[in-house]
Amino acid sequence: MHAFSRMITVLFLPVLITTVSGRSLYAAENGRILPHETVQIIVTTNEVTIGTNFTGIDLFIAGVLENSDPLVRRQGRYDIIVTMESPARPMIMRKKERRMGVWVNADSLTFFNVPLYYALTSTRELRDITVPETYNRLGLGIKNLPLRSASPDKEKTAAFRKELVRLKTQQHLYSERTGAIAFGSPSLFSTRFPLPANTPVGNYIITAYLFRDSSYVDEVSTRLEITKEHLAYSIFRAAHRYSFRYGIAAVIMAIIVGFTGRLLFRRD
Amino acid sequence: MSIYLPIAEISINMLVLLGIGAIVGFFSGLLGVGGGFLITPLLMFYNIPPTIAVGTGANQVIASSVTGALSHFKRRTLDIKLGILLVIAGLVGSLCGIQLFSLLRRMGQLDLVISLLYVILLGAIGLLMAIESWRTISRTRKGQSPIVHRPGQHSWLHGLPFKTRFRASMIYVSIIPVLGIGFFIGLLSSIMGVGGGFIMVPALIYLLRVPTNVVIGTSLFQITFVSIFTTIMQSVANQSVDIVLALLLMAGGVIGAQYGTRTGRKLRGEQLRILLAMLILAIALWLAFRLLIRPGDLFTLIQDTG
Repeated sequence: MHAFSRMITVLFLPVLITTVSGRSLYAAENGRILPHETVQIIVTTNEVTIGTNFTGIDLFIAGVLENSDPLVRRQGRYDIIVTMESPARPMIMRKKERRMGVWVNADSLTFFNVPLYYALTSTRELRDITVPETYNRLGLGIKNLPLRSASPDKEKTAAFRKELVRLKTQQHLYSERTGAIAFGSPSLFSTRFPLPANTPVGNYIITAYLFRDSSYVDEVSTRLEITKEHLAYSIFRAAHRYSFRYGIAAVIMAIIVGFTGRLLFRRD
Repeated sequence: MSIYLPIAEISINMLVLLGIGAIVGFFSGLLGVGGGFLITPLLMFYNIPPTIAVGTGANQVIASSVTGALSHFKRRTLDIKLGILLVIAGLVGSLCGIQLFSLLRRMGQLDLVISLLYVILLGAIGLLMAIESWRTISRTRKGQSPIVHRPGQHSWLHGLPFKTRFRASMIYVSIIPVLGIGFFIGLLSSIMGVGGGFIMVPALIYLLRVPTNVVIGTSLFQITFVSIFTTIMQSVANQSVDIVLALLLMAGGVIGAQYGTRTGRKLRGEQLRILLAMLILAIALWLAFRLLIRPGDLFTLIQDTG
């Protein structure tokens, strides 16, 4: 639900395809209305196509800090976190145990909304940017992904969640790279997200969060579509979308191979 | 020469897959077995998920049985009536098997059940083959003629109701064991990805007393239709048929079968039969061993499709 509500937010923003302008927040300061700092991000493409020879790429993202206070900037009191998140899917975690000498799947837990991909980059260590409560409220960071489990058992959920994150990290699908945002000029920053070969397809959301003196100031989102274009993926898609016709095709292929073999090497 | 298998979602060496197909094809050409019971465990050996190995196995069986079934049909060396009854029961069995397959998959116990069934099946086949070949060899050495299986006079099967006459087979038996055999083969087809000839042929000969000249044709007739049905059902219900994998196995199998038949003409099969028995037993032991050792990672994460 989290990712979904975030998508809704994005839809109501004045969105261009590659750039999304940030919300301008206004606040009273010294009796005057001052424009607040905002953040904007630019992704050079709005679609990444994974081909046959795709071994993984780095997705570059540039961003601008607007209306920033030069003094605060110079003192390095602005912090930025950028996340990239794929759509969420229900996933099952299974745990093997030894039963009568044999290792079997003995326990399992379903999580209803697991992002298939989640990456975070930041200007500094997360603990130096803001307090855990803020991260929690924003649902920011792997630790705060709002994964809903099918079990009321808190201890089990926590244990399985830990293993889920470990497996996802092992598959290079979850990552947190602190200090990976670099400022090219006082108000321009850039970062990159590693997209491994096994990057899942779908509509991704990239969100930049701006913090000033460890308090949340602004956020902005943009979307990115990741698609796969190669024969193997077309076959996969056919098997799932047109499974009946796929089955017929498999049968016809087998019959053809059977008869070809007979023609090639006549036995009698 | 690595190739990406779209459904299994792993990359694997193409030559290995052609090789597996060729080995299995060789033995099937040599001994006249379908070879499906070798394909699935060999694929599991190469870390192809059991689900995919089973689904694809059913697809591969079609290629190795369809031409045989057709030539027996042309020569009328099959019992159509018996075949049709076996097919009908086989389709029902396959359908039940597919449901069971999906259920076990949802429960997370599918891989375990497939492995266990193969340990039992391969263990039994391997032992029987080894013992029988050993007996034949030692008898031939002693100068005696090989044992001829002589069907007994009457069994309890002949006491069952719903008797019907199968003219081509010249038998008069109850349809209950016929449907039972067909159903069981259908189950095996969908849960284990095998044709089931290695069970059906002896069952027809020893249980139903079907004469040997129509046994192979009738068996191939049933296997072809049931495996076609199973392939489609596996595709629809479980998306477990990988056509790239199947194509490579079938291509290897077609080539291997030729060499198998040629070799079979030249030399007696007994020594090779023992070799195959050893291979089967080794695979069974390896599968059993894999269930007993502690897996590298106790946790697995899969997408919930159900």
